[in-house]
Amino acid sequence: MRNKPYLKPRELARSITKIENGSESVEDIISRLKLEEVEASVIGVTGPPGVGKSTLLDQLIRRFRKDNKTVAVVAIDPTSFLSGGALLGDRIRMQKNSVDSGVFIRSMATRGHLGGLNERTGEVVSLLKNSGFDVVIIETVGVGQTEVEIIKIADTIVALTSPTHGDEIQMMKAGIYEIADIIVLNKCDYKGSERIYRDLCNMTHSMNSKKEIPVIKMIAAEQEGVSELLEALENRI
Amino acid sequence: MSENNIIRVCVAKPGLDGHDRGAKVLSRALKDAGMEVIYTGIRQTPEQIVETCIQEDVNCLLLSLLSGAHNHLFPKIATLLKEQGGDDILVIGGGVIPDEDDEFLMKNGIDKIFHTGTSTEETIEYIKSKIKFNA
Repeated sequence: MRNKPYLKPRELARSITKIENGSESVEDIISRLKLEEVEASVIGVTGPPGVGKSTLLDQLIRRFRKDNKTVAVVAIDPTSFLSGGALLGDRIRMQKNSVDSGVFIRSMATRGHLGGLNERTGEVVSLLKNSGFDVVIIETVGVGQTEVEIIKIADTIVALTSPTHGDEIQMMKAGIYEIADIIVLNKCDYKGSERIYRDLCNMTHSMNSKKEIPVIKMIAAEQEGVSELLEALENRI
Repeated sequence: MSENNIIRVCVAKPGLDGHDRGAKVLSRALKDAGMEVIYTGIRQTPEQIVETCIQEDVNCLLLSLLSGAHNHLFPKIATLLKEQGGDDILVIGGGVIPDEDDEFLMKNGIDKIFHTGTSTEETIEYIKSKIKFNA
């Protein structure tokens, strides 16, 4: 029985690069390195730019680590249409979890792919699931209303919004809130949060009466609401 | 030889220096030059910086320091990087570094030092000239 995670960081990182650039397939890597899949939960965290995804991720990682779970994160940021480059700025908000061999964070740029992810995100997640991580979390780019590709990869989708991101009508539109398993109303210290919270609860109740979609009030920067989110995740896993 | 086909750079600020205007200007310039840039933020330990470089499989580490601790911190980071398998990562530095310290730093794992007044273009051209990809 190998120790988790199974690979040294350097080897894992290099393998991710090979997958991203198409020089080796994930199946070949898994077979070559004789990796074995464990029961990993894959959580997708999505929402508009600046809503607090990375801040929330930092909290989630800490709590999973307290439970002795190993965590891998893929954090995606947009590639510049003009230059082909990218500023990968999600990791900077997850600093409290650094230098911990039970945490592996990889930043990826979309590299022109639409849908909220990098084209090879699914394969990278596959590799991470086979590398001995208990939880794999994907942070999509800051999404608008149409980037829903995360639904193909994650078991559970957490969609964030905030009181400044629009009213009830906005929430009713097609897009990420339709595919969410859990909705988080972050930045609840902002004005108008109570009203939006009630609107969201009404909306999720009428959307699909078979599936219960919790709406969680949160101030991620102050750890408020994180326990409730973890409980909701626990109920799903 | 790198497996990458896009240059990935880590821009890092080690130690207790909180002046990050230069690091941010450079991060943006590198992005505009077509590179994928991971900016670590300020007050990073050598261990944090090396962990980032390894996990992100970067081609280049750019250290920015204005506090004067470069002779201590830069070689320490370069050594840690080597120990963790990152000896093929180009390590360059900039900030407030006297000319006379260049020799010591270049003997201790730093490829080149860019002094105050260097243009972003010069730094970008240097990185591009040193990173070779698999065809």
